[in-house]
Amino acid sequence: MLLAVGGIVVMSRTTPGFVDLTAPFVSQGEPGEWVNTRTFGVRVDKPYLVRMLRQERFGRVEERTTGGVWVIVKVDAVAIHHPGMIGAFAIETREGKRYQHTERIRLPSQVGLLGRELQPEMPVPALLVFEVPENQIMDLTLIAGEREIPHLTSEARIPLRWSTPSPAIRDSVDLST
Amino acid sequence: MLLPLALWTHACEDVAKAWQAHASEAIDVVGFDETIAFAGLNWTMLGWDIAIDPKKPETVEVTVQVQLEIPSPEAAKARGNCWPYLEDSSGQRWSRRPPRSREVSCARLSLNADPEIKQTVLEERFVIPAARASDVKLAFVIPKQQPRYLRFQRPAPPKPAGS
Repeated sequence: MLLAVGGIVVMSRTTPGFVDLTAPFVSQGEPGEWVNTRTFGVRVDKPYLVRMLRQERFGRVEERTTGGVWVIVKVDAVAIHHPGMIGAFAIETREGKRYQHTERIRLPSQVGLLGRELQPEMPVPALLVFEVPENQIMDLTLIAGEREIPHLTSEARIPLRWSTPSPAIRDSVDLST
Repeated sequence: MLLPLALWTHACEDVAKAWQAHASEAIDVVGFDETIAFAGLNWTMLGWDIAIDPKKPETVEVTVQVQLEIPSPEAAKARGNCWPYLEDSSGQRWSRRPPRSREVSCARLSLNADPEIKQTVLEERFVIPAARASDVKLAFVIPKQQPRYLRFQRPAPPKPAGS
């Protein structure tokens, strides 16, 4: 009886919690190299920092500013083995805060990745757009997830590297071009 | 001893369903023009065309035509969703391009079940790596039929004249 109770106590203290038990399967890598999960691969090309985005839609030029900075990440993406989509993108800061892919910008289907079906062995270039506080632009990590709810799904994590210790922030970029 | 038994009793149905979802059993159609019954319909491959875009030599567009004999509109509706793929020898798959306005695709068939139509020709287009063009087969996956799915062989290329 005592053994059983002791066993239960030990197990309750050593058994991982629900979040750990259902954590995503993470693949990590560096910019410029393919980071492959079970279902997709992603490669980070270059990140950019911008204060204002311009985009022509329905014959009008729309400008979008932000309280922080826009982080634009050029990536390549491909499906692994079967066609599929990458369900979620986020930027994670040094403090562990996550910022999801913006919904304020509608990227053309040839450039965006959300909702786009990928095929094996045929990578496609794409842009990802995030809003991040300006004081947290160092040590950012791109997270690409198979689904928005990450339990027991594939996830790729790639740090964003800047070419200088104080990366330049462009005044504006026209996404239409 | 009772705990594992209780767990198995509770979970065996879910485990079986999960296993079935990942299992696959291909029904291979070897002969071109061969008709096979599957999911209540009769299937016959009619055409397999490959087009190369000189601006994109690393990929090819494969267009396939498959004739379907539909005994009744209920048979077409009962079949439900239909997903065509090109599948290579390792099991890697590529899905079809969105159908053009006049194309009859497998996915649209159950939505537009015209009672007058007894026969139709599906046209499905794929873009695949050029290196895989000679290794792929045409697969039709119907969720209600899983783990079984239909798979047509790529027709042999015509022999050069004089050989």
